[in-house]
Amino acid sequence: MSDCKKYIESISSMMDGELTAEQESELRTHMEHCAECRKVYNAFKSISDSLSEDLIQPPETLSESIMSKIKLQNKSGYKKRFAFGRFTAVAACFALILFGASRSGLLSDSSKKANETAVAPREIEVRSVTGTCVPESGVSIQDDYGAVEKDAPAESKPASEHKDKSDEAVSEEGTVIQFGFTTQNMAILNGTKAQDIKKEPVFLFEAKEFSVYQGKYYAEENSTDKNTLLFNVSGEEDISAFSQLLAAIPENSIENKADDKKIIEESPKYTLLIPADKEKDEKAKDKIISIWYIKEEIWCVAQDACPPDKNSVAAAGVNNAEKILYRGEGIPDKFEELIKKVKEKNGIM
Amino acid sequence: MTREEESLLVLKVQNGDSASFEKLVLENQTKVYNLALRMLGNEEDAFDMSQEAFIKAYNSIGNFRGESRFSVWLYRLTTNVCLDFLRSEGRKSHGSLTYMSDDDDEKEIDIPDERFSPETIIQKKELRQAVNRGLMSLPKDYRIILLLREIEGLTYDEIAKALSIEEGTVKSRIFRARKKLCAILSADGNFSYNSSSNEAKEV
Repeated sequence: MSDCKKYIESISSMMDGELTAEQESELRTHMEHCAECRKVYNAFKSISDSLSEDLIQPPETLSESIMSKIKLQNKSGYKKRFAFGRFTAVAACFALILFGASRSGLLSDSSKKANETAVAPREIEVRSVTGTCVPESGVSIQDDYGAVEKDAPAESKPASEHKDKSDEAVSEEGTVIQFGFTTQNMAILNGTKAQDIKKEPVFLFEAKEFSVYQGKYYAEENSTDKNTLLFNVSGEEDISAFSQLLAAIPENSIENKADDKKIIEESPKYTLLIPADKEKDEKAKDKIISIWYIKEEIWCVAQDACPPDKNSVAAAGVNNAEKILYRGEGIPDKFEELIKKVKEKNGIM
Repeated sequence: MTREEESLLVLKVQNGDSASFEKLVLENQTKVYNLALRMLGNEEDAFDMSQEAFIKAYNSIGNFRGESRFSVWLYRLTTNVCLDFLRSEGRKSHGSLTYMSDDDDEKEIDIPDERFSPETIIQKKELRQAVNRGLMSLPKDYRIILLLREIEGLTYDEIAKALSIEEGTVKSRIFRARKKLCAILSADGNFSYNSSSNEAKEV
């Protein structure tokens, strides 16, 4: 009976149905002769029975409470995005990510002010979510890109004014737009506590244009030649295509870990530059969204285009980001495809 | 509910039908609640965290790709929600044991199970209480894995995926969890299992 040590762990596996028939029969034969192992078996068995027989019914209010919360959430217009399937999503959310950044109020130094600004236009925001981005007609935005219906005519503005103005921008370290699958997760962390933001969803903004750079974007003066501009995106179709893609990235409140920081110190794959809309707010700052492909995921971090220290580069501020903007599995391929399409469209190969 | 039925409901929810989500809630709430209850040790927190887990599931259902059963994915969310909660509360695993209160004892007596003699009921009940108490004294890793196995009925493979660990680790961790729980129970005097039999005697 010297085999007990070998068998004892198998007893546990056998109870879980994880042994092969052969292993099980060997163990059972052993147990017939071994009182110790039978004892262990009985002990394990009684724990197992005790746990599995003892399911407590949850209070009836549980499912009611869950469903009423979900209904409430849906009322705010958000969950309509589900109507578009997995990799499509409402441009609304998107407008937030990409273009929220371009609106200064939210990212101004005073987080108080940020909240006010964010809360005030809420009605309009919601309307634009449902009206602009969720076609009531049922037209899906699921196709490749650009099928979003919109009432307002496309307005495109020349991308001109952002270059010289970055100096005016006071940079904010660690300003990160946190974006997730729900409104509650979309938040701008700007000295405001995350839980405060959760209560008051912020945004919606309209971007009229943005630029996509290969690699890192250098915001400081005299560095224009360092930047590799791929193309400008100004058409509504293209903008919504980006929006859908980025909006489709789910769940994302991942804290930066030390290793993550190391990764995002490296130059990003692409950088999106969203010039500030100075007409709306003269204190607005240009924003960048840096995009990395990490394994199968896409990682994004948003921040002011202007570096904290003029000697450093824009992306360096990423280290201070409290959160990764978002990460989504399987997105890089789709994003790459999109970049390619827009390139083709613009005649860049 | 078959896996096909489940997939269909998930698909419906992904396409905007929140009413279908209710069916998923009703189907899974008992196990989710029991998982949370045994993770957290009291009904109030279990209620809140079950709710949070389901809402989280709803909000990120677009992210569920059907690689595992929906329930497995849901238990994983529940586990994470509970762990976050425990972390944020800085709770001690010995914290609250209120869910097995005296009131519960009375409730159980109201619903006798005729399969067992009264004597057995008492023994079983005592054992259950002891097991639940012992569970709260187990290290969190052990507790989670044992619950996923015993309450949720996941296979080793599913547990490995849910916890992102190797299957071999699952096997040995479950074994160690059981052994540890046996030791706790016998130390409590609630169990005939003798801790010395952990190390099987050579005859």
